[in-house]
Amino acid sequence: MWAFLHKMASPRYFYKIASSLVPWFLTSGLLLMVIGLINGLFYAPPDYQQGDAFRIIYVHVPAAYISMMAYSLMAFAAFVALIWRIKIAHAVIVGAAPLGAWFTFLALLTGSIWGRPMWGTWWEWGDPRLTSELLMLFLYLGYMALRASIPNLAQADKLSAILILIGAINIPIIHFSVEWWTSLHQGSTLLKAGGPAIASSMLYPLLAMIIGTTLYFGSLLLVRTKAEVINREKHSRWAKKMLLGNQL
Amino acid sequence: MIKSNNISLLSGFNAMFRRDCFQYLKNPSQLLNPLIFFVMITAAFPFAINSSKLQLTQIGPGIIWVMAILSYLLTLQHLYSDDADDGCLDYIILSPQPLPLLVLAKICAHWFSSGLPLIIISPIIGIIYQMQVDTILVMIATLFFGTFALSLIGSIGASLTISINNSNILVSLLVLPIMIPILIFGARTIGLHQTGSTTISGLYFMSAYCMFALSFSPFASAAALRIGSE
Amino acid sequence: MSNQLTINNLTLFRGEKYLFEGISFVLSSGDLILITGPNGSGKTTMLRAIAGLLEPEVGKVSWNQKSISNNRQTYHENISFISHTHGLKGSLSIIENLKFEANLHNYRLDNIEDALERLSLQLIKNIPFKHLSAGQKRRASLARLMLNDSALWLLDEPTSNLDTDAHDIFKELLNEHILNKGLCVLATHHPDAFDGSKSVIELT
Repeated sequence: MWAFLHKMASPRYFYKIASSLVPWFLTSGLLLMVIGLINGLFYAPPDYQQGDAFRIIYVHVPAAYISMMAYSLMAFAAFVALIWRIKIAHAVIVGAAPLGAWFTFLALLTGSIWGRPMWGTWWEWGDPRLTSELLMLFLYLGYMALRASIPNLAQADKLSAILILIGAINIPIIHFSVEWWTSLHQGSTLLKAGGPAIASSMLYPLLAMIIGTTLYFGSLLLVRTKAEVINREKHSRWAKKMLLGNQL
Repeated sequence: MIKSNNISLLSGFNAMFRRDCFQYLKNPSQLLNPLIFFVMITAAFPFAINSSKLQLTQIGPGIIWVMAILSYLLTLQHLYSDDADDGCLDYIILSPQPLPLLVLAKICAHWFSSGLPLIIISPIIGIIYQMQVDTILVMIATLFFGTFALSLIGSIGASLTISINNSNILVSLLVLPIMIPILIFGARTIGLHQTGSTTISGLYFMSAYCMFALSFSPFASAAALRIGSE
Repeated sequence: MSNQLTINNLTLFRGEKYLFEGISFVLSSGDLILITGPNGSGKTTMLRAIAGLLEPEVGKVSWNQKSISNNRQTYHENISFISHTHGLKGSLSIIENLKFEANLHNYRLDNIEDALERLSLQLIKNIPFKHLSAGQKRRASLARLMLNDSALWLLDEPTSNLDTDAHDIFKELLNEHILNKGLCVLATHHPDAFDGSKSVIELT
């Protein structure tokens, strides 16, 4: 396991492994997403309180989950990059940031659309989870802005990694905000002590969507990281050979 | 040649603190401009909104807090960039004193020269917004913690951007997401006092936030300064 | 007490090209090494890497057999660095600047008067730094060297803007330092002005 991770730190090896993984992640992700969406939108029974409006959960929850997972991944990669000096982790952060930002935006958007019929408002400023999720979008944007402003690549890498680590405090705040403060948002449904508080017919499509979206995100992340790795390594022999084929 | 004494942490902190305060004294416009900005804009709101006494007391805490943060952010850009420009930052990094300690001294000097004047001026603004004396006292307490927290968090933003010219907007962009909790609690605590609720929990939160920021900000800023000087 | 500076396989990039690669040398007490080369060849970068301001991609700097990145405080206690920019505050006077340096490092304040006298700064010691001429600024910067008996001097073009008298004073200081078992790494455009150097590194 450690030997594998150690090898992954090499850009060339990572590129090869990533290339072979992308099709698997993509197809399985898309398949699970399709299954989850069809079941969730058409076959799951309507909620006794919310009627059919609850079905947006099948997009909102995976998006919110990915938004937090992407940031946690970026924070972990920043830690690995700064402490263990593994350069490829910087490429992972660069690849993940726009994806995470988009998923955060999607979570906020679908949440707002859901909130309108449920809570009667498009947005509620007093709600801690909404506010901290919005803050996370700003953290993503701030990271991308900082990267874009620093011309020296090595400095940009390290400084933006520090920024990501500072912002990581937001993740537990988002997660526990529904417990610590009174919120419009409902409490934890899936990870509760007595088992999930949701009917299986609604649960399984949701799980399929969550796992499917994660795999889809994974495939996108691998593609973006591959591109970033090639961009950084474009002067090395293996990269030139691969890009130019046999025309060398 | 007389040999040197052993390194003392306190002397390092003192030297850095005094030098920075001295610097701020010699360049008063750096401090006064944001202060005047704060006073003028907060005073301008009642003219524009043309509100009743009741409305003023309701919107006052929020406006004062937002403007305090905005004008404080203006003072942050010079925190490290002045030293980086004339080469002093190299010497600060090369000193045997721990860099986080010197960073903390700079942050304290910044708060002393920018935060304290803001806190001292704030009662005047409070009166403009028809606040009672006890509300003004609560406002001062929240600003006390808020400005210190802002110095700490702003130092991280300033240290990350020393190699960038005209980084004012970027520093604000980086710092604001982390400052939002303080803004929320600061303004709400004043508002809660006005409606008669207890304020001590808000003040506890803000002091805890300050302590938390104190525990990592000097180290994060020191790391960013080292990287930025390469 | 004998000290030793070891540079091992120092390699630095600028952008995507090598500035220099594989530089190695050992400096012991009483040694002077010169770094020469045209503008932009990397002299300042190498000095900064030796000082520890820059972390090299490849290579190691060691002081008395211990790596400087693990041993920062001891290393910093033993070096005096003179940079290209002066590192003194424009709005403060020379004596206020030097007092800050002394207090920061906890040097004795008595050394300041000696330094001012040696470098003929007595008359201008109370003038704000920004009003001084280039030569006076450089001399004020060099006064740092006299605040303490540092073992290792890292000097980046210390004689730029100095007139002949000041130049001679500096050479005296340097010779005294070397005779006193000090070490010195000096980056300069004029290697011929400094004889008695152990070796010369020429960057292209």
